[in-house]
Amino acid sequence: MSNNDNIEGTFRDSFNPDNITNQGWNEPSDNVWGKIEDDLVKRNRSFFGFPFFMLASGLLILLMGVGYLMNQNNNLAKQVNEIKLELENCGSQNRDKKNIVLPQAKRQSLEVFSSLGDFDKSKITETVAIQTEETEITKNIKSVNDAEKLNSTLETIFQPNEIVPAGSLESLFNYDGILQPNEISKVDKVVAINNGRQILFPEELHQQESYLISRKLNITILQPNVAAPITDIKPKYFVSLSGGIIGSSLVSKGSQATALVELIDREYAKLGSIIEVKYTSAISKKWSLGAGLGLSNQEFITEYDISLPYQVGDERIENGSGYIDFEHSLPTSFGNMDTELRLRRPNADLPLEEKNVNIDFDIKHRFLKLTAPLSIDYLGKDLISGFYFGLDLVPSYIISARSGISSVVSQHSKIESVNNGSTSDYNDLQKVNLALGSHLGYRYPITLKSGLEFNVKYLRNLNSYFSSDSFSSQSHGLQFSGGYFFRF
Amino acid sequence: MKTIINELDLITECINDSRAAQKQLYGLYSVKMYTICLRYMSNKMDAEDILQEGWVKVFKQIRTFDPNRGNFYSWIKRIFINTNLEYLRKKRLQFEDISDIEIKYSTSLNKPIHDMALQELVNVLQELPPGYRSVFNLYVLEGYTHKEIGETLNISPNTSKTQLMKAKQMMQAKVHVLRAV
Repeated sequence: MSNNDNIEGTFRDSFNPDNITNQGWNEPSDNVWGKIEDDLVKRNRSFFGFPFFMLASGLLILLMGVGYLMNQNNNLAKQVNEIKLELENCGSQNRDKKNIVLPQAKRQSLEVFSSLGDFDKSKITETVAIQTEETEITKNIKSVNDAEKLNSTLETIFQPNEIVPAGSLESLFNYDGILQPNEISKVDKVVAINNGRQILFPEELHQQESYLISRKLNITILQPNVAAPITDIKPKYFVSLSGGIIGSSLVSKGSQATALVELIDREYAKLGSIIEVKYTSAISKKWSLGAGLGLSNQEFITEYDISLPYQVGDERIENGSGYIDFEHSLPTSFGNMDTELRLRRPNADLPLEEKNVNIDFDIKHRFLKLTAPLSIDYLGKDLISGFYFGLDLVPSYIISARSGISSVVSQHSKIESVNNGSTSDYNDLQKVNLALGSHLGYRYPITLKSGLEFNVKYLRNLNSYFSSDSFSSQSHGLQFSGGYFFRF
Repeated sequence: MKTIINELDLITECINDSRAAQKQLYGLYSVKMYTICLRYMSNKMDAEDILQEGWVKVFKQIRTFDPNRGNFYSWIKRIFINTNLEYLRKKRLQFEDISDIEIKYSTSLNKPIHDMALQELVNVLQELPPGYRSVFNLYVLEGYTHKEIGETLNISPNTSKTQLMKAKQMMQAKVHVLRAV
């Protein structure tokens, strides 16, 4: 036996688990268990910290929103009743409408109301009056600036809580960008002006050739995890139901450490199903709230959304409003709890949406991620159906990360094989990532409010990590999602 | 305290966060795991720190243990080995080449290596430079290939081979010198 074999054999025999017994010197100090116990207690405390605070906060905000909404509806109902009462009084004073002696706008209101019949008045939200001769300015509106002018004009000439006479809005439709009156039925009586303001046509009014203008809120439809909205129609309240499969593949090159760290970015192989029901509601002219409950890979998920417009300098005039989209998921479809804040800026002149900044705080893995994606989607002419594609250039910086990835590792054979089945913790890890790729999607509306959507995305990731030691890795993968989307 | 005989029952109780079961599991494996830590670390203080960190990980991740994929000892051992390696990486594990002149000889190596007790072998390992010690542990005692060691420690397979050769040379030199005395 050579010396080498002698050494190796001796060590192997001596350190065989069966030969290792308590010999005193290899017994740990008594205080070790106490320290472990302290650590376990701290861990349990932290687990019930932030997520539960966020859950409680989310529910509280939701309740406040519902309360505000109910109050708002009561006010609207009250306004309608007041107008109705006024009409009845006027009617009893003078049965001949033509001779009513009232200000112009008020007289028009009376005329319209008298012709409305038994339409559902609860559908009225806010009403505005119009002076027909001044609507010429709304012709030839083709850009956001023109739309802004239209809105400014509307605000000037329309008085809140006034109702317009039949036929007075015809001229509104004589320009590109807004549907013609004969197309109204196709969009369920809801027409959106480019910059987000909407005109609501209750069906009953349309039938009687009377129009009621309603200034609508600018509501961002928060995209569900799988399918994006099928149409550009933005109702005030809606319930969305989405479901489908979602998955991705990952080819990773790197060391144990890099392979593990990949997990915290959710760029790893996964195949699962998701179904989610979400209620989204506007609570004011600027804010909307959403809450959802879903099932993803046999785990319940909850989601809260808040969106509100943001405005920087002249940006709103030039490019339309952006949206701050706050989402808290517990956990998301990938099994992570995370909180995201996104700034989105749709470009009203072109069928593009730019995603400006993304701040992603992942509670489970304790990281704060700043992303500045330069992702541009070409949505197609009508924003409703067909193919869309986009390019992705996503630089990101993770300020601090700590991976507690046991549950993921156990399901992930590739990572596990690299890591020999165990897990790691990295404290104070910083990461710089550049993702390059593209995506292709297809929307197929089945009805006005439902349809199918599929999306495939390829990303190549260049990663550098900075911790007690520095290392880098590359990965690339294909992610796909698809599902059925329904709103009602 | 109720003693649980069956290991799987004990693991189930640990998943349910039973402190008594966790302590019992700790008692069952602490000596074996501490011995592993002692062979990767150069002193008892560091070994106890790693032991503590490793056990916290074990209890955090114990619900991921799948008895169909291997026995519990192998699973827990991997966690401790990785915890040791992570600690060494944080300490910037060096793989420098040390010349024969710099080799310090252990006073405990006063007999042929195959006659040495477990504690003496641990002492020999602890006197090796961290790079030599890690590669020797992984190759000889954990059964890793040089390619796997390279992936684990972020070094090339050739560096792993060199480190192993140097580690053995250092041990042989000790034996040779002491026999000659």
